[in-house]
Amino acid sequence: MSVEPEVPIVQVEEVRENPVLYKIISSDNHVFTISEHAVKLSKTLWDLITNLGLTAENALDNPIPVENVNGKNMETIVQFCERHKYDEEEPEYTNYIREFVLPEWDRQLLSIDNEELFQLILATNYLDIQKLMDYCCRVIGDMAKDKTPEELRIIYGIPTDAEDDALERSASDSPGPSG
Amino acid sequence: MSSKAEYLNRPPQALTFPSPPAVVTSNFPLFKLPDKARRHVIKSMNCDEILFLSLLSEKLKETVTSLNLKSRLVSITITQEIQICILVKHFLADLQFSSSRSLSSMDEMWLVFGKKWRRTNYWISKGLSIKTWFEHIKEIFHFSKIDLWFGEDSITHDMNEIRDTFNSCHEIRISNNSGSEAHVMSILKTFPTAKLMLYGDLFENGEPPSEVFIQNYDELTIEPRLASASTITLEDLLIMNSRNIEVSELSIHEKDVNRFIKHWMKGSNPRMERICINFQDYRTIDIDLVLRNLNYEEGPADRKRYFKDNSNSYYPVETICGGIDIWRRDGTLATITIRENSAKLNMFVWHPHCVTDRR
Repeated sequence: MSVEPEVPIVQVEEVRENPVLYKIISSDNHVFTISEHAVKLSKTLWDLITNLGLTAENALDNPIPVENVNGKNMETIVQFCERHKYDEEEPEYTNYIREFVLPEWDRQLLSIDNEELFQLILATNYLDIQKLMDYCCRVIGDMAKDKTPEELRIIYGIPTDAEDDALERSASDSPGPSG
Repeated sequence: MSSKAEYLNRPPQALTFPSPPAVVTSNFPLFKLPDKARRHVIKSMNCDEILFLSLLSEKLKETVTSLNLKSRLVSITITQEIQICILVKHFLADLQFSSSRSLSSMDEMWLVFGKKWRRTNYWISKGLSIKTWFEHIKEIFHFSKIDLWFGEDSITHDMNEIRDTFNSCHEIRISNNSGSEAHVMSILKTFPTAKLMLYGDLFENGEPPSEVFIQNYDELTIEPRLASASTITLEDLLIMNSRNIEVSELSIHEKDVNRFIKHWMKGSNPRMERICINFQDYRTIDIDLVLRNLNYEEGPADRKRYFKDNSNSYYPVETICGGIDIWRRDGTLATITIRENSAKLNMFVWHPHCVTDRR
């Protein structure tokens, strides 16, 4: 390329640090490469890497199978983690999610239909990525803005008490696995 | 109602809970998420949305309750109308009930929500009583202490019903137009409280009876009659049995304060942790007259000590700079400070439980 692009700091550091890379295989056999800093955002993956004893030398030779996450969601997750790998660590919270404005890049990334968002949250929850969870939940929470309770019931598919009771009754009436 | 609608810039919508309307397309299966993720979504919502969700089903109410969201402040204003104000983190929910009928009857209510002191959302609720609303919010926002403010026409309500609905009162404020002295005394008898604030105008002779002064409140604040000095005397001050005492617009003089301090040194007002007074029209206090013939020690202005105000949950520690130290016979130390252009006198008593080493 003749034009020198503005090089993000992230890349400069990667080159300088010669980062460790890991391979992840999704449930539908797509292979992803992810840097060490990025994969650390997933508590589940990082615990797995630590427990498997993967090192800079053997990481790429030992792809990590993640059977609960398909390639589409894994692609979004890898993009997200690479984007946010150098973010400052979030403080722990207890009762509330901290206040934040969803950055435009992330809003674009999460501009997907509700079914895809649902699947992404399941994957994020499984991989235990706090920041992505916060962002996904903010998108879902924003659906409630300026809505009436009746509208919330529809948007979130909230059963009435009678429907909950009926579901519980049918669950208790249905035979168990052996029956 | 129209003025509220104009103020809020759009017509209010009725808040009801029957079957949902037909025209909402977006559908996210919140209840199919794992419990942890579902709770995460709800925690990221605003107070009004969380409150609405909690009303939609018992199961969802249980989920919201289990989030352990805690209100920082709940104040209930009782006039002809009743208003419940709840502060949850930086969200403010205002429940304004317009009817003066029984607290357990169905009522119309304005729900006004704010965030960081800006109004964000509002609704009209029909079909739930004040009692039902209060019990609901108490459960989901986990509070036990409330502040009760009595104002004009509060006498129209049955005090026993108010007590039974809003039990466990922490602070009572009775404003100067609340009604007759008999009504005020009825409030005080009906609601045992830790903190009390009232106005001299409420009483025929301009000040509460001595039976109020001798109560062992955590905090007693007496505001003066409108545009006139407080009639509270030195004798009144000496029988006050509260930990924190605040009296404004006193018509007594420095020599009375001097005598008050001398009595304290000899053992009067043993529970007192702090007293804050000012004279009529906020006139300058002559500290030399206050300290006349007292043994005292003036501390350097840059000396900082930290006073723990056990009854103040919002500002529990106050920094005391400099000040004048005095001691009572048993060795208890107190510090006198004069602030706000020498118009306000504070006396801090350094009981062991009032001493802390940092803010």
